[in-house]
Amino acid sequence: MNRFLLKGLQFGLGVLILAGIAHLLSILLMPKVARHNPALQLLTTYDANAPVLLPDRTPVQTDMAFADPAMTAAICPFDVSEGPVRLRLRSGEHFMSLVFLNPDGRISYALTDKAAIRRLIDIRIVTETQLRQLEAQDPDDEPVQELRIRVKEQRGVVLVRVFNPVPSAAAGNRALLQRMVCGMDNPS
Amino acid sequence: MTRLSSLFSLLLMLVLGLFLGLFITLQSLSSTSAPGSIGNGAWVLWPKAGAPDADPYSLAIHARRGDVPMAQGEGLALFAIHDSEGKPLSGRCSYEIAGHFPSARVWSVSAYHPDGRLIDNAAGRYGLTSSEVVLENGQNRIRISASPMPGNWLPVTKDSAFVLILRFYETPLSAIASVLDWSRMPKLTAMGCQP
Repeated sequence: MNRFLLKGLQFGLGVLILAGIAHLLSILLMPKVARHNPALQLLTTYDANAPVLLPDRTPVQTDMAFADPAMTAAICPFDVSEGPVRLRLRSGEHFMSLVFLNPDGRISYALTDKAAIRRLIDIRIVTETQLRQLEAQDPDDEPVQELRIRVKEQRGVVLVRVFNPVPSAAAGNRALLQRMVCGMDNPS
Repeated sequence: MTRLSSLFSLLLMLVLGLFLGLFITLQSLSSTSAPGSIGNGAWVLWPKAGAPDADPYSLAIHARRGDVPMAQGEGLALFAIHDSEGKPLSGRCSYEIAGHFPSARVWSVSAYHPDGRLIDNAAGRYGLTSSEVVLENGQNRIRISASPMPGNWLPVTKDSAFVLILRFYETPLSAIASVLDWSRMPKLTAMGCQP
């Protein structure tokens, strides 16, 4: 009887340990495999290093769940494996945010229009090595005007959103985002 | 024979463990009380979801749901799938969001199907913003209902569950999201239901 009880306990413990491992693994892998992960979806749908103005949010859009319909959005999918990527746009009178997404959906960096200098947001997306190379070339007597954002992953997406306080503001915000520059810094 | 029985026992253990683990994962990701979330009354939020050091549960929840969390410094988003009494939000009922709204540069409120799509409606109104809302006796008061209502009305679909998201952009609260004073946040209450 004791032998059966011991075997049953061993079996139950084994199931619990395996369940714990399966649970932890599935939680950790979910951002990398979930087909709804918007960062992954955007990276696979659009070319890297080119700006994309996203359509206004309506009930037919399914690319980004729970998106705020009060926001006009554009993206800059980037790939810094060949060199730094430049992202430049003007801020307007409405709230604007820039969110840097890793392919797994983790937000690595975010800023708002408060970071704009004379209404210009000028960003160079770089790797650690590219940043060191840039810094070595910087003149000593001139402050750097651009904002350099170091990314750990070579690919990612910058999601740029502008708030439409009223629906009629969307047209102006779309025009603002249409002028966004996103591309290789020095394309060969 | 003993070897076969041991092998069968091991296989059964593996299958049961795998299914139990995945079941726990699905349950924990669907729950509003998943690790990493905090809630009070109707509202729930994931304070670390938008941070570079986001916890694995918050990341998994947002990846499965397919949404981009609000970044720290960008603002704060409150989700509601239940009213303040814990009953699921339903198009058969009408609701009101009222009370103290925290300081923010702008805010918005929008309604969604549980899968994250906006709710189609004849008015073409998918949300309301701080600029659109008309104050009533000096207070923000938003009514959510399938049938038209006076004042600040946000339409939903009758006989369908829905989700509400209240977003505060550029608010000092995003830095202290994990220790929010919930008494200083808007309340979501059911106003009545149709049979």
